[in-house]
Order: sequence, then structure tokens, then C-alpha cells
Amino acid sequence: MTEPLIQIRDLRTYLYTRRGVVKAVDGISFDIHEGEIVGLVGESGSGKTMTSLSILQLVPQPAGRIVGGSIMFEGEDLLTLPESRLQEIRGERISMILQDPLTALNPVYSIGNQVAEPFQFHPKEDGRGATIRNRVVEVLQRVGIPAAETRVKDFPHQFSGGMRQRVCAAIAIAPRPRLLIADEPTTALDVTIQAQFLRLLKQLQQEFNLAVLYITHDLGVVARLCNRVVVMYAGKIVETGDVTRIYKQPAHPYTQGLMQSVPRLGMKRERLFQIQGQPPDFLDLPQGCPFWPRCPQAQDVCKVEEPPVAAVGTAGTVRCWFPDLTGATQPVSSAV
Amino acid sequence: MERYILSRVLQGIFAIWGVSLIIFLAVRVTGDAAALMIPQDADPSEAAFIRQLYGLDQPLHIQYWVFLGNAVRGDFGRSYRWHDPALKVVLDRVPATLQLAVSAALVSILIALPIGVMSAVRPGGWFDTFGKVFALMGQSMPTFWVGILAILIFSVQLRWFPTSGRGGLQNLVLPAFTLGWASTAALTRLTRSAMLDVMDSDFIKMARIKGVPERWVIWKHALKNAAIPVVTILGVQWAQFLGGSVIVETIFAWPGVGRTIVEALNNRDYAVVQAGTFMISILFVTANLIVDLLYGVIDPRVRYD
Repeated sequence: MTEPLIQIRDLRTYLYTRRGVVKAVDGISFDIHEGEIVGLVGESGSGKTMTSLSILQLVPQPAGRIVGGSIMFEGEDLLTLPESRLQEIRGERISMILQDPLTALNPVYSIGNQVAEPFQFHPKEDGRGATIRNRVVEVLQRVGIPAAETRVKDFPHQFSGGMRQRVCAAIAIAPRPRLLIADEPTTALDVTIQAQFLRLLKQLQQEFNLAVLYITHDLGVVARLCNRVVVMYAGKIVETGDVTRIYKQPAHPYTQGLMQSVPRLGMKRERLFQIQGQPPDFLDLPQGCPFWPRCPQAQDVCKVEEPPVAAVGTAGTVRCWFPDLTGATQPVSSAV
Repeated sequence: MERYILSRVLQGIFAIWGVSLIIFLAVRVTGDAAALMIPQDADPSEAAFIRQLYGLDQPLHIQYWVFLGNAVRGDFGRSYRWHDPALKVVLDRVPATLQLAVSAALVSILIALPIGVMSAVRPGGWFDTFGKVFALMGQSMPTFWVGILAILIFSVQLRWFPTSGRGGLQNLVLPAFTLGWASTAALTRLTRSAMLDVMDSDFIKMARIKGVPERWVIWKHALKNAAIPVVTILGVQWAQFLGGSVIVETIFAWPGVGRTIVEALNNRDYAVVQAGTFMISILFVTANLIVDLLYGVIDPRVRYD
């Protein structure tokens, strides 16, 4: 396999709150290759968003701090770069779409003004000498804003939610980034608009050969969109792997629980499966595996020691004492 | 838009009418004007003559009716003291008051905005602490005391600025700072909290994601949003700048409307008091109309129909 576009190693992002230190991201490692869509899955508060903000080094200040690890991107460790270099990378090499399009656009500036900013701050010759205005109109047309030439003067409140999210997508792809982080971009949209937006995202991804980190708790979207999946729980990665393998043979009890809680067509009308208990309190994590209080297979060792990471499937990992390795290409039992 | 302005102007006229009624009555409960104009040992018939001369012997509602009829024609009567038309006495002093109030507003904005913004950029930092102390001082020191203190330090001790009167820029500095002082404190805190709110929002995060430099994020993206509540308060503070001018103009012997009203009150010069408060209320209503129209400039979501 070729060199990954981005390599995250042992990333640790802590939040220093009044009540104590929250290890929002606690030693995670994963790669994203060029043109690959990786789904980052987990419950609310599992550290997904903090991971993406860490990549961009926009962890909320002053509480948040990246305390360790490395993020190699195009030969540079993002964590060692000065702010000026990061500003060059943000928006130009790595961009991001936020969850709520209603709040992501500045209400007092026109759409054109806001879409122009990536071009303004990342001046890059496109070989045609096109003016910023032309490029703004072009990219708005590309994401499917009708009558883009006249609508550049309009303000965010004059657009619908779906259209605003398209504007956000335009801002994100404007300077042709290599990596796009999408943080639950469809959560705030109507279901029909969601499908349209996902189609657009997929088209853009193929057109620009984008690498996408797609953050979501919607497993249906992951199945449709992603090549690989990273599952987070309590600031740690519990499982990674190929999307088909994760769906068919989830190895971690938490992933298994997630999969069982997805409603499927043709299912009998009964109560959906539910993972027992509450998401953990970051300030009071259990000893050992953070999932053990909710895990149906928990045993004594889980409550004492942190589980090891085992290989599963092709280039997959699972962090569990007793993973279900039936889906693995080389099951543990074959070693006997 | 035109309809909106028209309706606001009508509302303003109504407000000014209300003010005129209150002032008309309030002035008349302060006592007998005629008694002040004649020597203490004068014959009562002289007082009666004066009352008759100025129409003060008429019932109140007749006096008010006459007053109102004249006022809409711009006639507020003659000053008992200056023997000029009262409106002229007041109008002559409007430029001085406007100059002082606008300067005070500018002082207030120019100090409050940067301090408020810088405090919000690093909440809890040393600058924020400085801003807090500054605002506390501003709000806890009354205007008349600040004015006297300023004269004592900067005029008497340091001899940087004249103690009183109107003239060049040196004359303006102390009164403008004194008048702007209390509002500066309130405005600083408001700017800070408005900025803190805005800096937390998604579109600020979005601007940073775009690679927009932090300076640009703060002064372009955040400040224009934070300006919306700040402008609202400025409209209200404008009343303080006009009202506060009564105190500040008296302290600094600034020949403005405020000081003239104070003098007229001491002399029971009804006509001038009425014309003066009338003028102040017009200035206030106009300024608030301008503020309301300013919203539309700052915030595109505001519509005037």
C-alpha cells in the first residue's frame, strides 16, 4: 500500500476542566489514504469531534490541549507546526464541514464573501487567471446552488438548511483540499435532503480524489459511504477495519452492540437492541477496559487491566480481551 | 422602509409630546415665577402684573393649550431672564451640547471596543482582569466626582487642560472624558460578553477552519456580530450622554443646553426649561431612530417592513 495521506499516532487531547482532566482523545492511531472515505463512529461524547479538531489544531481554548502524539500529513507533523503554517494548511490542504449549517455561516456577511475567503487567504493560480468572483460562482454552481451568479450577494438566512450545507461544502472544497473532515454534516438536515447531500459529497470525493474523514453515529450512512470504519469509545479506538467486515463480523462487543441497534428492513416490530447503561463519565472512567460496565462479555480481567490490541481481518484492529475473531482471515484458533 | 421611518417619526413626535406635558406640569409645581422676578418687598400688585404679563394667571389647561399651540409654530415664549425667544436661547447652545455628547460617545466607543474585544479574546487573562478593574472603577465613580477629580489632577495639578469653558480641543478633552466615563465601563463589559458569545459560535470555528488569520477572525467575523447588541446599548447610552451633559456642563461651565436648563430651573425661567427639554428629547428620539436604521446596515436579517 502507498504512504497514507495522514497518519495519526498515539494522539492525546485532554480538556482541563474545573472538575478535572477529561481525556477526550486518549492515544488513538489511524491512517487515511488518498481517495479513501473513513467513517469515524461512536456515541456522542466519545471523542470524535475532538479528534477532528485536533487534526486542525482547533481544540477549544483555553481548556483543551493536545498533550501527545503526532499527526503526519504530507511529510509534516501538524503538531509541531507554527500557527502561520497551520493557517496555510487549514482550508487549503485540510478542510471541514460542520454539523449545523444554520450556525456555520456568519449571518452578517454575504455567501459570496464567505465562499471567497478560502481563495483570498490561499491564493493559488488555477492557470486560467479566473477572478475570485468567478471562482466563487463556479464552486457554488458545482455544489448545486441554483442561480449562483445572483445568489452570491444573498445572506445565509435567505437559504434553506440544505442549501446552506451546500454552501459549506463549497467553502470546504473551494481550494481543492486533500483531506475533508465532515462532522455529522447531515444530522441537521431533512432525510430527503440528507440523501441528496450525501450523493453530492460522494461525487465531490470522486471528482477531486478527496480523502474524507466522515464523523457520524449514523451507521447507515457509513455503510453507504465509507471504505473503512474507525469505532471510538471513551476517547479510545476500540475497533478499526474494512466496512464490510465490520458490518458482517464486528469483533468488539461495543461494535456488535452498535450493529444490533440498527433497524433493518423486514425486521419484526419489536424493541430495538440497546447497549446497556450510559456512556461513561470521562472524569470517572472505570479501571481496565472503559466498556466493561456495559459489556455483556466482561470478565474479571477486563475490570483490572486495559485490553491489548489485536489484529483482525485485513488491516483491522480490535481493542478487547475477548474479541470475536470469527471474521478474521487468520483466526486465532488456526495458530493451534 | 419609508413606512417604517414614517411610523417611527410619528412615534417620536408622540414621545416628545409626552415629554412636553410632563415638563410643563413639573416646572409649574416648583413655585411662583413672578415671585422671583420682583424684589422681596415689592407690592403684591406688581407680582400680579408680572403674572398677567406672562399669562401665568390663566388656568393650567389654558396655559398648556397656548403653550402647545405656540410650540408647534416654534414659539416657546420669551425667556424671562434673557429676554430672547426661548428657542433661540436653546438653539444657540445645541452645537456645544452636541459636540460634547458626540465626543463623549466617541471616547466611550474608542476605549470600550478595543478593551472589550481584547478581554474577550483571552478570558481570564491579565488584560481581561485589567478590563474588569477598569469597568468596576468606571461604574462605581459618579460623574460629578470624576469631573471634579479630573479638574483637580489634570487642570490644577498638571496644568494640561483648562478647568472650564468652551474653546479649542483642550477645552473638550476633560468634559468629554468625564461624560464618556460611566458609559465606557458599561460598554466595555457589554462588548466583552457579546464578543465571548460570538467567539464561541460555529461560524467563528468555520472561519478558522478556512485558514482565516486570527486577527481577521476577531475584527471582521466576530466584531460585526458583537456590534449588534453594542449598538443597541449605545442608543440607550445616548440618553446618558445628553442627560449627563446637565451635570458635566455645569461642572466645566460648558455653554450647552444642559447647563442652560439648570440655570433656567434656578430662575424658574419656564420657557427656557421647556424649550431645552424639548430640544433634548428631539435629539434623543432622532438618535434612536438612527440607531434603529443602523441595525439594518449591520445585520442583514433586520427588515423594515
